[in-house]
Amino acid sequence: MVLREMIGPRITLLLLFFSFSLFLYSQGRVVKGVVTDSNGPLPGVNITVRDSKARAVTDIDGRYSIDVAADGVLTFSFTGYVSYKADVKGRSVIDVVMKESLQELDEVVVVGYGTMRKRDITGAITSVGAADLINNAPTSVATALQGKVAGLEILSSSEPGATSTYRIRGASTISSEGSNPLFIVDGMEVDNIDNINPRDIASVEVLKDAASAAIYGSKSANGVVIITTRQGTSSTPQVSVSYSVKQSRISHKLPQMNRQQGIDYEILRAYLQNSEPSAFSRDTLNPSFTWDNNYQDILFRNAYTHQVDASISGAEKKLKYFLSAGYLSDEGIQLNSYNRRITSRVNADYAVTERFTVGTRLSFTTGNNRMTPWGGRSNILSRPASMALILPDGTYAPVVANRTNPLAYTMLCKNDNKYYDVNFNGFMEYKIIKDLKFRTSIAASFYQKNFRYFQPAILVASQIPSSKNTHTTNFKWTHEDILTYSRTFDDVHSLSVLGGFSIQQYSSEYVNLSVSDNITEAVETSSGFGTVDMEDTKHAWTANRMASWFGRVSYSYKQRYLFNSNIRYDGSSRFGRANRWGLFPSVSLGWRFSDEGFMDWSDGFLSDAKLRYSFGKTGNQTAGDFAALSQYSTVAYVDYIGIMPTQLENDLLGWEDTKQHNVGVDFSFLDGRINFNFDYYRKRTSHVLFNMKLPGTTGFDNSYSNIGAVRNRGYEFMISTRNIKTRDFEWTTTLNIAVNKNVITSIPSEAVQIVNDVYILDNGYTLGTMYGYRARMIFPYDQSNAFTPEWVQLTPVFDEKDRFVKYQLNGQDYTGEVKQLRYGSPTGEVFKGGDVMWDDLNGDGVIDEADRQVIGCGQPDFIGGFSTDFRYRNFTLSAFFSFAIGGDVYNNYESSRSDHKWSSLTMANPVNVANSWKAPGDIAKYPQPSSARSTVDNTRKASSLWIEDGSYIRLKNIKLEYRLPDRWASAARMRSASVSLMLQDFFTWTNYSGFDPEIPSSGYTVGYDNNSYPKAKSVLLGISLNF
Amino acid sequence: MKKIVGIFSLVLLMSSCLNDFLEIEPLNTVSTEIYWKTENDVRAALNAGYVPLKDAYKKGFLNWYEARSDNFIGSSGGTNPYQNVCFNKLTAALPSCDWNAWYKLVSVANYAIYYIPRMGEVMAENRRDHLLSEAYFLRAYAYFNLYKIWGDVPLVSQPVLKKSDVYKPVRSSKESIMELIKGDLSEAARLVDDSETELYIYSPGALYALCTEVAMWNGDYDGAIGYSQRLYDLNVYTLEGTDFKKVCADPKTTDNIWTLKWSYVLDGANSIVTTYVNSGNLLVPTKEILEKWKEWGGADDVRRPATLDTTKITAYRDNHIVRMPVGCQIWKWSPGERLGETAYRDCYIPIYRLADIVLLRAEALNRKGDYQGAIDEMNKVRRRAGLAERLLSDYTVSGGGVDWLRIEDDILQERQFELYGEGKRWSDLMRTGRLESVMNAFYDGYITTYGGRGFIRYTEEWQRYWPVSQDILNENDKLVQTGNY
Repeated sequence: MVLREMIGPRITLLLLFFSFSLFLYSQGRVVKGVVTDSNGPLPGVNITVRDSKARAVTDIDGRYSIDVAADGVLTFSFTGYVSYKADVKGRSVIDVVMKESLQELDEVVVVGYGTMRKRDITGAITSVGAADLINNAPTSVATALQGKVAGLEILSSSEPGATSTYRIRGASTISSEGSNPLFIVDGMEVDNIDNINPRDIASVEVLKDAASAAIYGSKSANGVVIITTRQGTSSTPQVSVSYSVKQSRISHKLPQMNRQQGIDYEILRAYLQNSEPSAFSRDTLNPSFTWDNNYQDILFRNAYTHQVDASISGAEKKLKYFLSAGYLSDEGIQLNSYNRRITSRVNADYAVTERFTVGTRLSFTTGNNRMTPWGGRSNILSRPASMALILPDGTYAPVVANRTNPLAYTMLCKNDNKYYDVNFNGFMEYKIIKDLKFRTSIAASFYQKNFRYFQPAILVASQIPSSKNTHTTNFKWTHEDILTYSRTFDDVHSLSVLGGFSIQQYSSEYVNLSVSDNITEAVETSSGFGTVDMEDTKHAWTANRMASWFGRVSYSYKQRYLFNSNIRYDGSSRFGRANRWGLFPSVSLGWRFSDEGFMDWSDGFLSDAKLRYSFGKTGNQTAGDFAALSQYSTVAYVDYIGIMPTQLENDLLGWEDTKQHNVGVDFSFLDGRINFNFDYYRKRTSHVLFNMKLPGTTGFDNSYSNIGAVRNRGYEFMISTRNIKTRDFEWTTTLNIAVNKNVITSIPSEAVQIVNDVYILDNGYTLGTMYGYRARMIFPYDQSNAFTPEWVQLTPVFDEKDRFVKYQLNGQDYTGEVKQLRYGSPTGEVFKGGDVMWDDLNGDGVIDEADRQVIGCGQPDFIGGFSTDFRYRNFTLSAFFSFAIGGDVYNNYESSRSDHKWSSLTMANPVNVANSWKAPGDIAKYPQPSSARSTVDNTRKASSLWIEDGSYIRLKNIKLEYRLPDRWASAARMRSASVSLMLQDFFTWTNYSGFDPEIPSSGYTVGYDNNSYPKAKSVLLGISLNF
Repeated sequence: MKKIVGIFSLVLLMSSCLNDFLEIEPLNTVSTEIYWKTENDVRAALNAGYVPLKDAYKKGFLNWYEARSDNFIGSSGGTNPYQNVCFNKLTAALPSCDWNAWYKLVSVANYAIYYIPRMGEVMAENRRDHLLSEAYFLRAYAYFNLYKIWGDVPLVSQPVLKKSDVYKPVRSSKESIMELIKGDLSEAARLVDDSETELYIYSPGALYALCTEVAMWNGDYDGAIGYSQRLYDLNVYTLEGTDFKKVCADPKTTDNIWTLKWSYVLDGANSIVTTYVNSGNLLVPTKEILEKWKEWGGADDVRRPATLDTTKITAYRDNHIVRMPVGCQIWKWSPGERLGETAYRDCYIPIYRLADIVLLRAEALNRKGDYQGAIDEMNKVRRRAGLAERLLSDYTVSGGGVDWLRIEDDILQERQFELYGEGKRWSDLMRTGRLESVMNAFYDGYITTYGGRGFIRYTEEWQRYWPVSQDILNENDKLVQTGNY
């Protein structure tokens, strides 16, 4: 039945043609007509005549005219639509209604500096269309893309305005900054895509393999994300308006001690430490200590986010346009945090003549973003619940016993960013001859950020107010010239050659004013102050330039044998003269074996099958802008200003390069009902740019060098199916999974280090490997620290008065030699009851650095997304899951508040304290909660106690949408209207005890949960109207 | 084919033009090519040296020069347990095992020593000589500290100008380090302009003070007498009319030769002084010094009440080494006034005072047999302290001769009191060879009496020196750890 639905119309058409063929004419004539689709006239449709060189293209109104024999056959083709063949049969007017293709293979995919049909792709490129992007009412591109592309990992936080982390096929480099992909928006390279309204986007392409990315050369080693914004297509203007409101709240609260638990904790500590608890925390008359705060209840709220968007687009005779405006008011779940943003865009193309087209892409974004300052969240779990937040006179409580007031920080501290983002891209395109096109463009991007920080005296122990005003201006321009030649010879050889040149400059200017002792707190800015921070108050400027040549040759024979080669030659101002220029070539091959004769048996079942292979070299240049030059910077000895050499000249500094192999297959079954893609890749990054430590005797700290190598291997697969498709009911599913294995294959000994106490950077380890001591158990008794000489643990036996009697081994009395674990050295302290029994890796009885081992890894084993959509008549129910399985999280939140060596005013986790050793014989998970045994470092940072499984499956969103029936809509003069209700991030299945296992991180500290913003869960109501 | 060749040659041709496009010079940071052109450039380059010097002080001053001596007892808590330092239980994990800040100072000096002679005639010769002498002085000061703390250290006397100059040096013998110090100081003394006066940076006074101290370390008593004489001849410094209460609290008196400035905004709280007054009692004066001082000057000595917080330093329990007495601080930076910790953020640290040099000179004269001269020098300090002047007859033995050793004991005792908390005690113990006897007696007597356990007595020569931080050893595999650490 389903099959009939699809094939039915075609058969009808064919029958129609046959019936016309009875009336044949043979003389030539002009045939005219209009080509339309469901939305109206369709410009740009190619019309060809069988066995003739005649060609025509529909104009902006969809009209065409062509010379053709009366018995000729016309073929109408347009990418994204099913090709349509029409026998002329003597007619002079043929109007055609084109049907959009179900086969994704006919989609056009944006590749670097051009487009290609998905059918002809030989690399690993994933494309996401507009409908998919805005499906979950995203506030940013990151939330729009998350989980939708196999092999693209996006980690984002719920904090409004926070930057997300993007990783394509793992981290290819060791440096902390260098792993973000290259972002290209409408042909222009941008630093980040946070300020783009997802509703303005027509498609996002992710270039994953080196062969596809190599046309972007030296910056493409981490893959490329290409964003193309929308353009008008239909001759009737289309107006869209949408609104959504979202309520968010904290999805998961952590246990924290209340007033009574805090007092109990102090008493327990005092007992274990053989000291006395302080009186003041129990003093019921001291207004500073009589509260009972749950900071999470106080600081987090139900937040509302409103989003309004409107756009109009269309295509007149010579003009195509798209205009949009959007407003976002995004409240964070923490009090007083928000991001308010206005976006607007004007895209226009104008055909001056048949051959000459000009166009612009212009966007403007401005916003105001307040993020919670450090002190607003840093100690909310460890600050005693009894400490006052507000004094009896109504003012905020100042710092008490070095504990800052998180509520005062949240409400009083200015931490505001105002930003302005303007992007302009103007181009001209000229058809020199029919197959040869020249395009030149100039693009500019201007970004201004004004940061304002004001810290009133009450927030800090020193009682000195301070403020900071930072203005950053980034400006970038790019000029490009591209010549494209494409032609099909003899209908079987299609050739496309592209050559181009580009130059670009980026500059960033920064002015900072950092002052303290502000005269008044009424003026919350750096105006009227007592002291200037001489080192921080300064102007800085940096810039880099690039010049590049690039080219591409694509050739296909009968669309069956495909060949593609990209090459780029890049020069960068960042490197020493000797290594300034780099060449980045690539080649890729494709074989559509489904077209081969020997695959005839699969006709009607297998609609398309393609095998792909690619190899290429890409680069990375993430070093400082002047990393090759010797540099001096300003330092201050109080009021004696000095100039200090801080960077060594290094004229040998060069590119980091990545070589990547990719093998892939694409299958399409049952005319696109089932699509399957699989890719396997190996990439090896060498000459890694690393800011390497120098011997201190040089007087310099570090210097960029090309050292070491990193290898990533993995595979990705994607399967999408239309399980059921009838007129009333439709069910589709998509699943993507990516596996990446990363390892450092070479690193010089000087660069080997442990970052944040626990992340090891060394040969043979995956980036994000956690390294330290493994806790095996907590010794229940002092006498439990007893082993045979072979390090088999003995069981102590006690009499009825709890006096130690003897040891037993496997139920037998043991009288042999008893060995004990010691801390640090062979004469070090002996571990006692309540101490951690660390894994003595080398069996020498001493717990020291030699016993450190791998205790976790932040990189997940596999990540992916699963989506399923049901449509019944006008209702659509869709659900989207994302998952990351097998990664660990280092819970630094827990580690620092469980470090009982601090004073009793640092509250621990009540759950962990309940699970801690308190008296001899306790079988516990955590060591004794006191500082009594700080000499043996039970709560050390590099410990498996703080590592948790960070695997999760999250129902990112589940959405129910109702689309107004067309006749109702048209009665209201609308094309369509819909309402939707959505739950976002509502359900997460994880064993992780912290706020959230999805942690944006930089570089090698993968999965480091430090003061992260809690995850929000939201309910969203949206309405969308199209006129 | 021709076309292809044509295109490639065009690409190559344009690429070379593009090389000019790809040259950008930084704006707010300067490169060597445009630096070292004027006197101000040199002044700024040398100013930069005082930043790492202060960084070094922040990292280790207390550990190196006070906590390790018999002046204080330390607490056992925190990230830097002073008790371990006091008990000679040093590990390579202590922050004060890091010498990199000193080598930053060496690098600043090496750059100046390399570039100043290459600058041509851009400033008056005496200015150039004086700036060059400052560079030699700073290098000598850095190496002298390295010498006192670690003994054998890498000897780097050439600037590292580019990446290819980077190398991994071995630890040179302390004798060769001392040779470099002596050479640098004699160069500095040759080039110095005696008319310059500065307090917070280099001055002739600071140079002669350092020369005197170095000469004393080498047992060069004539040298010490000579250099201290050159200091006197500057006619800038005098103890007459100065108030002991100000030498630390407001270190700008005529007693202060070289003072390290501090800025709370840039440097954070002055960790040295706040440690002395810390409410958590990180370092507390020993009960021993309390009793010794009382006995020494009785109520006459104005220095004791100006140094030790007399309102609190009374309550020493019998287990006070384990349970530190509450509130015992020194208030030398605000004599007579007990302030909160935050009041000490901006305190300056005296590096050289005239009293220090006067007493060194006294030692030298004593060693040279000029006992009366020695006693005269010592009396200058005693007079200001309110103590009775000593006479030669106090030291005459019944047989007629002079007990010069007793004079030296007394001079050193004056130094301990006079310079208490100013980072001189440990140096004095090491320099005079009394380290082992004084410290072992301190451990076996005082520390043991009041319940201190786990100290390590001094038996080997390497124990005088500090271990090198593990990070530094990891960076440079040619380095070996000090002694048996």
